[in-house]
Amino acid sequence: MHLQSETFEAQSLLADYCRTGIKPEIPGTNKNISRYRELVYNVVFDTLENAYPITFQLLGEDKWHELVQNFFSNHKAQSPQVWKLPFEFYEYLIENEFSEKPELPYLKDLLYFEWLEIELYNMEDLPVREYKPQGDWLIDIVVVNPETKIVQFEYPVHLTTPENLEVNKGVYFLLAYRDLETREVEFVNLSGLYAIVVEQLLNAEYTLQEILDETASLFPDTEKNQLIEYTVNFLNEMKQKQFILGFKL
Amino acid sequence: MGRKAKARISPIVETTKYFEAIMVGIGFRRDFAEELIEGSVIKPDFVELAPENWVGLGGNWKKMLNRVAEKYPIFTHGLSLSIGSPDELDWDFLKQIKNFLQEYNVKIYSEHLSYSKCNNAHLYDLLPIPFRHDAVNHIVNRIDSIQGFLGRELVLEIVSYYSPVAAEMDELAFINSIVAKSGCKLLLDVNNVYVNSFNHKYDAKAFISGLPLSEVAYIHMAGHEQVSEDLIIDTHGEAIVEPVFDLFDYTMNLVDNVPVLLERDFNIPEMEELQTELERLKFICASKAVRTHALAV
Repeated sequence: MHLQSETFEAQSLLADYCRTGIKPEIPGTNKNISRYRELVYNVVFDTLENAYPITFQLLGEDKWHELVQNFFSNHKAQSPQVWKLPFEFYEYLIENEFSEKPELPYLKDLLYFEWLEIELYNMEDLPVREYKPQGDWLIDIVVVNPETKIVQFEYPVHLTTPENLEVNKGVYFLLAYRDLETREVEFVNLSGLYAIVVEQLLNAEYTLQEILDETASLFPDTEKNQLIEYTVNFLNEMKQKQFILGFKL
Repeated sequence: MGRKAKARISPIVETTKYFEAIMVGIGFRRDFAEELIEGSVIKPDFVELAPENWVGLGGNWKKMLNRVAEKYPIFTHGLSLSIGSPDELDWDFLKQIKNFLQEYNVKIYSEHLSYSKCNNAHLYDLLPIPFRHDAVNHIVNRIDSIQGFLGRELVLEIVSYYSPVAAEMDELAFINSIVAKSGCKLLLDVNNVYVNSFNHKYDAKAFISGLPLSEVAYIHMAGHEQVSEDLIIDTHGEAIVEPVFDLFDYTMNLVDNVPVLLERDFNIPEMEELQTELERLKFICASKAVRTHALAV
């Protein structure tokens, strides 16, 4: 670096001011230097508001400002791509246990639900393995859409409105995938059984027969044949929704 | 004989001929992507986009990008290079940029003469670099590294700024030193010069005349907003104002025929309005080309 300490210091003071809003004496500036804090903060605020519209509406503008201010003052944004900043915001709030506060118990799930749609919608195209459209559900390896995520929530943020979240605390599974035709993100609520099945299908190593042989013991109250019937019906439905593409060649 | 033959061509034919050689583009915005790709109202010669907004994206974004790249030449105007930053250059990021420029056969990679990252934190806006001798050397060194890595010339934009920071020389001396020492090209944003001349009370034409004009490779035009008696903000959210068109006319008489871009990022108007601005820019460029040609023959 060819910079002298005075130059580095001036640049550093301005950058820190833009992040924190705490105005230091920056040498050789005029009153309009405060415009930079406004410009930077507005970009960050708008980016985060646009990424998390439900959370923003729920918390209200004052609380949102508080979180954004806390985040941008203390966190050093790492991505050169501003659209990735909302994920850093999510990680920051979780690491700093904002979700543990009594008034925001479902914050973690809600933020991640909102981020998930952005992440999947924007993600790079992944290669799809070759498949045949027809096959045997039990003995062929099923080929699924690779642009997929399965997440577990404590609160049903994908199913109900915010006022009903706390009373419905439990265990929920959500399948999210980007449709290969429309490229829109689709969401499907999963039972525990189907979450296990889909997770195993994503590995593309086991047949459904093998997966259910391993899984059946977790569901002692259900006959194996019934388990197969339910699962095959579910997979047929998911084939219609183009999450399941076909069967391995 | 040659001179006589050329003199017989009507001025209209002559101007039309120059129209074809002049490139006037528009900043690609998702807000009017479909009008650009499928519509027939707006007809730029190229589009410019920020690679940061497209690198690594798939799905519908990738499809949109491929469709626009099929129809128009792509120019780029980066946001996160942070050429004036005290931080180390981000080589992973530059590698992604290099791949993107190759994939889309990008004609020009331009960036901002500013910094947007410091103390290992991105700021997502363009901060003013102190106009200082050590900053010049620091930036020249970085330009050299980047140009070597990318295998192409960097085209750096004169940015608008609202306050100087710890300056020990004026803006013109700062820019001229960087261009002279680095061999980079210049993106002359005429609106930025107008905004800066208003905010810092200098003569915009004298400023432009003092630039290394033979190194200008690209020109930007845009609108701005006056927010107080003594401050204009470079918003890209309004139509170009008459004094900026005048300054553009003045500029075009001093520089070679280089691509010109219309930036419109907010308050997007009807496409007819943008097309009218594009045509006016092109007409000014063509008129200048005709005049230059007439003087040469």
